[in-house]
Amino acid sequence: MVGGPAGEGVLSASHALAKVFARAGLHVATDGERPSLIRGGHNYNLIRAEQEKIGSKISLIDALVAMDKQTVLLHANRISHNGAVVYDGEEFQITPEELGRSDLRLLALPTKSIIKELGADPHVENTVALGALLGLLDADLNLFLDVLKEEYVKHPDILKFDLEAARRGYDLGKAHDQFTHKITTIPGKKRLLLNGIQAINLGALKAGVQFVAMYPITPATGILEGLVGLGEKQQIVVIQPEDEISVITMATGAAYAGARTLVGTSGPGYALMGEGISLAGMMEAPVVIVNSQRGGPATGLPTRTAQEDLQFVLHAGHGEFPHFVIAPHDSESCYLEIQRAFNLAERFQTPVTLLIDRFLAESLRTVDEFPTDLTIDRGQVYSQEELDRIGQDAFRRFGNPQGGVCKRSLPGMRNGVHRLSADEHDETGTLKDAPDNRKRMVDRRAKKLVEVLKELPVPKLDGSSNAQATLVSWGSMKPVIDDARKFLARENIATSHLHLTYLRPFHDQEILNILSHVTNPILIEQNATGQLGQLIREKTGFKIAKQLLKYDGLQFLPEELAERIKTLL
Amino acid sequence: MADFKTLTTVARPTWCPGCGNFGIWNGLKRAIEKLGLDPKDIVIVGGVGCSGQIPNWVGTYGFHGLHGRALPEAQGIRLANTTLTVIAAGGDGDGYGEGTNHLVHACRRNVKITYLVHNNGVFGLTKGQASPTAPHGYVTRASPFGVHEHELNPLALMIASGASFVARSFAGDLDHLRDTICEAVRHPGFAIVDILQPCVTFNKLYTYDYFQKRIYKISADEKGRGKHDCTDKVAALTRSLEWGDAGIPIGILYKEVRPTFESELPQIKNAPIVAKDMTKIDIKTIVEKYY
Repeated sequence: MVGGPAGEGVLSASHALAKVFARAGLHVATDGERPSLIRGGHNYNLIRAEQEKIGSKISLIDALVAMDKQTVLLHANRISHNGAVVYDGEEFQITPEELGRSDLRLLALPTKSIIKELGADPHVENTVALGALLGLLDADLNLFLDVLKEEYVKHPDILKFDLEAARRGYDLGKAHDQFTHKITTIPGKKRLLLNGIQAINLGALKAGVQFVAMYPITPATGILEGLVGLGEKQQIVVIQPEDEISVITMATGAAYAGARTLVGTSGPGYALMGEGISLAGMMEAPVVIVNSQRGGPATGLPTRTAQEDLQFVLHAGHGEFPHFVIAPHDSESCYLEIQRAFNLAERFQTPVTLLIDRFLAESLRTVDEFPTDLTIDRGQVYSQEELDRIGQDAFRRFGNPQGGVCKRSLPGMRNGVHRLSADEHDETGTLKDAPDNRKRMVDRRAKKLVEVLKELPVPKLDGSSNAQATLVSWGSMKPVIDDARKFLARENIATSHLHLTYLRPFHDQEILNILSHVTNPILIEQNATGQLGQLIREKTGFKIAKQLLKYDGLQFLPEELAERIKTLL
Repeated sequence: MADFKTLTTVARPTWCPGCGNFGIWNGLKRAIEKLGLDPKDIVIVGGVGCSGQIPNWVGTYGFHGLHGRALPEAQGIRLANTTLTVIAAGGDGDGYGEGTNHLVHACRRNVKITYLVHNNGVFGLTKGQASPTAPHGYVTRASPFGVHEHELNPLALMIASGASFVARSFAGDLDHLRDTICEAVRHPGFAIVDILQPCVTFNKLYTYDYFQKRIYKISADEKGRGKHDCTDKVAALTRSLEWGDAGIPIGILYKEVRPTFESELPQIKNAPIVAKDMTKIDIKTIVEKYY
């Protein structure tokens, strides 16, 4: 754990550590906790690194890098036996008596003296501490030096101090040679390290995104900031309009004009987008929306996590129209599912929402290899040659539907000229409210939900239906549950897991079939009302009686979850 | 290219006989004809209300979207494909009420689109309630004691918001309207034409006769009162404050050429983003950074 006041570099220090571990070939999972403020308070980040594949941070800490005394006092009770605390001993003192335990290895560094001796800027104090921690862990110092070199590539004058500070810290840490935990580099096995938002950005780039509109909002702003700088090279227009209503309607216009279009937001912004999502459904415009959830209602918990928007997103927009909802669960699946979202949006000409949350958006994890399952499929769009064969005045925007979808022309194409109304319209696209036409149009659009379900991966039970408990979850719960199940397995408690990614449309039959054969289903969600449970009951009639719900803004920790599962066996 | 006849769709407008929207419909088609544009390269974006339905009845591409959102929709279309001529149209309720936020920011942003506001002082399609340009005290079924709010001055608002082209025309003067729309479409930036549009059914104040008696043309070529330098922002603001019995100026109030939003984006300098080659996507160097 790295902890301290906001604005002191907790995040960048923990990112550097995570990068060192990932480059050493380890599996890494990180996550932090921070109040909604820019300076002060208490922030911390957990960095977990293991030889085996992991899903989530855990509660237990083996080493703590503390930037202030408060951090030590707050977290001392979760440090493992003989664990270490690394801190600037010239900033504050700490005694075993204060902490109420004598087993901890208190590594008080002469940080201020080192900085003075080097004539360096005070900011290098974190570098001294990280160096000491890596020395303690017997990690390869060069990995850290490389990270520093990359970070300060444009500031060689600062870099020299950081490199020296890292070495000094490292030597001091290394002198404590009896620390049980070691970081051994696995040669040739460095891993990708990225959070959900970064994975979404890379997936969107891979999918050829052309237009991105976003209004800043925590915890989704990384989409806007991550893609804007790549706009020129990757041919993307990235725009920050005046509000979320403008974002979604601008995106709908761009999608109608033929651009692969991405919108990012969180619950409060998504709420404003309702009419625009409905518009995209009616205009059959392929817009992809990422909702990175935080706690609600209203402005709620801007910097904390929640899975509170599921039922809201499932029912987004007035009226009845097809809208697909996909909830990825880790960086790898974010990368894959955003590509699927683009393909489905264009192939079925309808809006698709990717539903993630603060935990998934911001926690860095390692990825072995990016999946290469999907290639770009832009769906049915006429070429100019095809339209010329059809000839003048013969094009009908909604003629010849295939599975509810009609091949479209794009503005600028000859012989594809048409008018498209957000009022109910006829096959030409022109407004028409006649009852028979209305029914035909509604039925056609609704077919898309039936058709898309046929090709979405079918949910499967991970583990046996005879297990002592079958955990039922969606979205970001998967990695946490994966880890919790491992803890339970160590106690010989066998569990199985039904994890759902595709929430609209819904695999009613398959899910009912699985649930009717398990012995002890338990619903696990980060909300107060069991929203997936409601969905399952609505679609299948199956009621999951046992629920583990957490809605305090903090993601379940695997140990915590395992303990709570045990109470329901 | 397009003639008036091919720009007239088979489907016909459902406006009331005598509606000012017919004048705007014809003025727009004549402008497109005069500009020599190809209908395939034009998208008309409509808001909601009687006026917003106009894209349904012009033989170009048309996008009849949401109430108040014509401007973001139109900007999205234009930014996706900068080879298109994009014309947004809607009423005063649409543009000066529901969509005011978008209007103000479109003025700042200066994406090259044209915005025609059919300004009639009422909500026609919902049967005559007061719009933001209805005068204080105006009585409708929804404001039986008279409107308590004072009327919005759209032209002053747009000039103050940084619009690079602000004009006013009249649905009853087809030649003036056609020429003003032509100037607006030619303008390299965001161009607004506020069009005085009598609602013959619901607005008994702002009639053809009311406007005929009060409007006067402004331009550099006019003599006397109408002589106007549209590059002078203060003069434009002064004109925008004129209304009612003292006279209503029509013509280009303000015009300024400055870089458009899209001209500052190198990614669309040579080709629109819709022309991006999807077979040549390479993210290898970007992925490398995450190792």
